[in-house]
Amino acid sequence: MSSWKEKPFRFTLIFGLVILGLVILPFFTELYYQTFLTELFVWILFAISFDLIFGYTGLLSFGQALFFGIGGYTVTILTRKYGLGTEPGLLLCILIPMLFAWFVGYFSVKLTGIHFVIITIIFAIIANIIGDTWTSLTGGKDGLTFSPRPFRLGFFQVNLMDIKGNYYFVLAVVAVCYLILRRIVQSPLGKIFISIRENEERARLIGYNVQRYKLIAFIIAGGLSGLAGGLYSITLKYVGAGYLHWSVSGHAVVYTIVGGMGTLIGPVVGTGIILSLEHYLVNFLQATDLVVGIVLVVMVLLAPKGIVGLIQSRWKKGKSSA
Amino acid sequence: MTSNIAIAMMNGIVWGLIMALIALGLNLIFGLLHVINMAHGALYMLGAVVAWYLIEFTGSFWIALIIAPLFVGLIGVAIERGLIRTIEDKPIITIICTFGIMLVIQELVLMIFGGAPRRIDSPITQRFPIFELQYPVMRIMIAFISVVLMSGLWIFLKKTKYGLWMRAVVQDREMAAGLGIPVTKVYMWTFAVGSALAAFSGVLAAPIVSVEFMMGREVLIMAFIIVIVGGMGNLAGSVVAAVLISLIQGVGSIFVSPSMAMVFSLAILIIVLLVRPQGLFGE
Amino acid sequence: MVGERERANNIFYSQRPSRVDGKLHKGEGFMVEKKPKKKEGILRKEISRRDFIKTTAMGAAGLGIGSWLTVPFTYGAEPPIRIGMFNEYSVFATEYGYWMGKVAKTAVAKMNAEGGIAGRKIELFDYDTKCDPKWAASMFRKMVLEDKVDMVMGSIHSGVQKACFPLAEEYKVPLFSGGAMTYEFTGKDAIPYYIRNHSHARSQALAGWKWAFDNLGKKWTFLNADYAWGHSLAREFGGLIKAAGGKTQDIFAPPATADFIPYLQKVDPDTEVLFTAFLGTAALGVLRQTVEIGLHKRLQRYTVICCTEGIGQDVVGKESIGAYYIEYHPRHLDQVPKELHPYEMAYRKACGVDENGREIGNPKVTIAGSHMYSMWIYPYQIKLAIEQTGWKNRNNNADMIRAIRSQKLKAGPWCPIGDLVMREQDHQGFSDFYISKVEPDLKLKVIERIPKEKVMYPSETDLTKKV
Repeated sequence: MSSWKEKPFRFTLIFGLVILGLVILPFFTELYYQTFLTELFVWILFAISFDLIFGYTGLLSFGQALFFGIGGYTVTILTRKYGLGTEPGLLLCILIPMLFAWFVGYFSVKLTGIHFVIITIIFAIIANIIGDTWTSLTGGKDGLTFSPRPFRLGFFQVNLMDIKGNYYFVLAVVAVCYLILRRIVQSPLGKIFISIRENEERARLIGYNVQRYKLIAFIIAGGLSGLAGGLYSITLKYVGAGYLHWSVSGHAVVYTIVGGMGTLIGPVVGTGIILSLEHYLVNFLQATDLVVGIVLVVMVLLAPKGIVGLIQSRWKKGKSSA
Repeated sequence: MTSNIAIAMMNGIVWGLIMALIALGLNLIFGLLHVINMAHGALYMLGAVVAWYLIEFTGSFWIALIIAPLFVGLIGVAIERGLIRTIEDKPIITIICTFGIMLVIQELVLMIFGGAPRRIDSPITQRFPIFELQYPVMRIMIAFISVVLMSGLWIFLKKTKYGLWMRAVVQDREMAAGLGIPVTKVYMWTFAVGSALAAFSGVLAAPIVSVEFMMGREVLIMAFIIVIVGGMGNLAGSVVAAVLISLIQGVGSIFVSPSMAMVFSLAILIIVLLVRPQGLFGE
Repeated sequence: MVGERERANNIFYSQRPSRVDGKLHKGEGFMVEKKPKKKEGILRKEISRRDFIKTTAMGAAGLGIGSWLTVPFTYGAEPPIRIGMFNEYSVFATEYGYWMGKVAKTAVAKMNAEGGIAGRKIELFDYDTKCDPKWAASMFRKMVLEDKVDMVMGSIHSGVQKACFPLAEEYKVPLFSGGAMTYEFTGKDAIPYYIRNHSHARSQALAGWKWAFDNLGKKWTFLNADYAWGHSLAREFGGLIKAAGGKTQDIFAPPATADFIPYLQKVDPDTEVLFTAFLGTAALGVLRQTVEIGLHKRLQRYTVICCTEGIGQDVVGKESIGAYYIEYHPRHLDQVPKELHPYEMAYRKACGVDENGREIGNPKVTIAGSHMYSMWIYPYQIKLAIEQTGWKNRNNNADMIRAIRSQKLKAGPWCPIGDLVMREQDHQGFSDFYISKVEPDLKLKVIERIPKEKVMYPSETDLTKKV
């Protein structure tokens, strides 16, 4: 699939350089870029968790917003109401969405194709309605604000109310998650996911319990989406019913398709391009959705493997002539 | 109480028939082209918006009712030929592509038509008394027109050459092509008819609902639900499902809060999906 | 070889025929007659992919260079005062956004023409909230950190404003509410960096309940949108009605309801006043359908002007004749109190609005007259505060807030709505209200003016202790 895999040294080098660059960036740029990048990291995490389930396992789930929102609400409500620290909050915003993902996934993976899409959307709609109406818990559409506690790891403490602290914290978490996901997709487990995407029938005939693996992928993706939601609410100091709306899932779809599905680097690139484009365009016009829609249609038609796919296919063509 | 339920039932049937038109269009497009048209709600909205402009120019609702769907049908043809044709056999990709098309159509309408809702006058303003309320005759008319359109579709599919071709392509695409049926033309017409049906719905609903660039969003999800419950590819199933769901929601909202009614019906939908994914009437 | 066949079955490669053993293999759903077309299509596509990359790269480079070139140069002049603004320009409630933005830009342009603030020009930055609190928070950050604004104003969406509260406090940048109606923002959720010079659910209820209770009826039904705004209106009005011995009934419908007949059926047969609260098409629907089923013959219709801001009464329809609205500033010029006419006429002229609240040159567009004035007045309030306190930059924002919250503005060209009283404890502004009735010619005629003193409830918080 990807030539990166064959050269772990090259990957480590490039990854290391990128992280190093991001770490020293705050010393050279203004605060705005730090906040922008912090948000970017969160969406990247959301997009790569979506890629796990769509790009690698072949399940189009429009319901990831459900877990994103649950993660966000978990951290916010626990910190607000019970004064929970950020460390347990972070753990719970992975675990609790995972539980929900188990529940939703258990039913959803029994279905395939369009039915899977619809059932995931329906779960998300139900969650959205509950989020809108259970205002005593969720604050409804207006949402809830809170102040996250500093993050402590041994002697090391990061103040999350501070822009720089927030930036490094999110960067660290997302980088670690990226590495973990990379490990997963390169492992035998990841290969099973890919085989399910390629040909579900054949995977079943070989002897894999396809539904169980789909569920595993769904749970992992749900947990990471939840973590993204938690990080987002920590960054914004705010959570609202809007976190649960299916258009949030739509964002993940756009980023992943544009960047290149089925490759972890694709969603990273896609998120970066689309988000930067949107933030840049708001200086000139208001109809950014129009541009995003056009980009989406163009990409789907001309480059269904995304930008990364384009680059990869040119790379391959340059190397050999099959 | 009986009067409440009776009126709720009448209402449910009227809305069910409007939704049936939309669902039929969606079902047709999916059944034949295997395209999941996320832009269907936008086409419904487009029908209403075009009708508004036509009424501004001509002052006649009936002219708009005929012409707006034709115009939207043409747009459907353009979408099919230009954009969707290359990806017709990949349902997942079509979802994403039509999602993008939906965004584009909505934003364009926002830019041109504006964000404020506008109204279309009912051509018929009479009411007739029923229990202690006055029920608008227009709604009955809408239901009637809906039924006429659906019958027209039925005749078209069962009795005409094109209808036969469409049914053949649904059954077995390769065989139909082998028999000399111009499959690509059939695809084009199907998308056109599906879009036109959505537009008809939009024009019919506009006097009740008013015209606004976001009006397609709520309708889209409902349309998908109806198609799934009725059975994808089963046109009669869509009609029955549309009326049934509408009735249940209408009568249900008398007893419980609307949000709870919605959650409840969605939960039931999940159960239907799990137990009978082919829909209540699907094969 | 196996890999090739696998790729043939892959969802992405099924449109590209693969060659195995020199023979052409079809993917799924591959049509016999389509084969030659697809082959050409592929070649065409491959070329266009290359072009695609080239053009996007050039486009991106062009955009990058272009933005660099438009950085303005100033030579030692006093830096401008930067005001950030965001409004709802897409998704929903866009008729509000249109007018809030237009009035704000007009006000800033006028103020600049008259010499700016303390001799400094005002620079206005404008963004879309998209009715999305998360996106709006992003834009708030962009304005504060990239555009380096000194303060932010605008928006009528309460979720948007709530999401910006933590940011306003963190960056010490005041948020001036364009038109959010949640009472708690200057009540129990109030923060020092939030200022509101317009009405909200509680002040509207206090203004509007008594007259209606005495003149329209004592038994009310609330048919409101099922979310925070609808609930708060039902709660505020309902509480006052019940306390005075009246009877209330609550019916909530989804905000996007198209068909109101099921809900209208539930209205109590002996209800005298039907109070509705919806936005957008639902607002049109509820008024129209109330009349369609004949309910208007046995009860009075009462609502807040928020339901038809930016929407002409002709669009709402003849069905609205006889309905009552609570306005915060009359839509029609001749309904505005006589003593305010000179200011009102100048204000309307500047904003391109005629005497009936229509946009000049575009009569289909109606003003959001009861909301947009907040954006006209804020620049003036900011000007007074800055010139009074000697504010130099963002670090002096706390001084500016202390000045603004105790302002008592008299009617004038910058305050055409009449006197505006700001209250220190909760940063809330108070002005007069009006109760209007829709006449047969679809005009909103003022039948009662409610002075602000009747509306000034006791403050629930004391922000003077915080800043």
